[in-house]
Amino acid sequence: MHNKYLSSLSRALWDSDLIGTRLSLSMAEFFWAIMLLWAGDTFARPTYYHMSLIGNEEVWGLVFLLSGMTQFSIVLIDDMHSKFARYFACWNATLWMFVVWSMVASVYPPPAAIGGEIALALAAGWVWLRPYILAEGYKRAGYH
Amino acid sequence: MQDTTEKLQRRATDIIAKRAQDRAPDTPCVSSEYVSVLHDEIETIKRKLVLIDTAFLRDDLSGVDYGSHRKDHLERQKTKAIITEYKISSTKVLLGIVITFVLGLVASGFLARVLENVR
Repeated sequence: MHNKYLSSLSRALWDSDLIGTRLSLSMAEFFWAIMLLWAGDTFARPTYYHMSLIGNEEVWGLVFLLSGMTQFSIVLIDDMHSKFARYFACWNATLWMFVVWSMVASVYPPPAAIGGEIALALAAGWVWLRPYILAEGYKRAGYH
Repeated sequence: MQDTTEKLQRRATDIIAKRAQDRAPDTPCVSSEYVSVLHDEIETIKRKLVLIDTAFLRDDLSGVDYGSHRKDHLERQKTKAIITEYKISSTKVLLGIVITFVLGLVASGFLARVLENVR
């Protein structure tokens, strides 16, 4: 007999669809794109030092824009379980984790607003990893 | 389905009661109406059984395979239990990781504060 809170958490983690998570990620990416493509030198701030080593803010703005559009399209065409969607989830998780790491590594103490970005990076990682963890469970139960 | 059967039974009972009142001493107690009611009821039950059989697969002799249907359900129940157990144990592991991460973050912040005050 499992603890009812554990069962509820298990249902929330494994039995929910990830549409809301994907939509939140795509919205966050759109807003990042808007902020980066805004007039002015956003990357002059030390927070974005490591990101600026990879590319300028326009480049990053376009990267976020394309990523947001792709994520949104995946939800629109209900393509969440295809090979492309899985590869994209890996790319998306990498993008968010790199962005979070780069901001944490660029300034000290870390900015408070990074709390939201950490949650988004974990969400992106979950979208990527959950299918593989579930597949292992189904394999143990005899599904191939 | 149940309503139809009940209606038929009530109708049969009513007919029998009426016939019992009207019957002459030497006449038989089973009337043709009662037989007709029974016949209708049997036909309804037979149709239902045919429909129930369509839920099952056929075996190699083209008969209804009740056995494999039961086995399939038992296997699904077993699989579901294994997957549910796996999900619960994975949830515990994930909870452990997240709590460790959050506590680590809180501890780092607290330590930074302490070191700042010490300086």
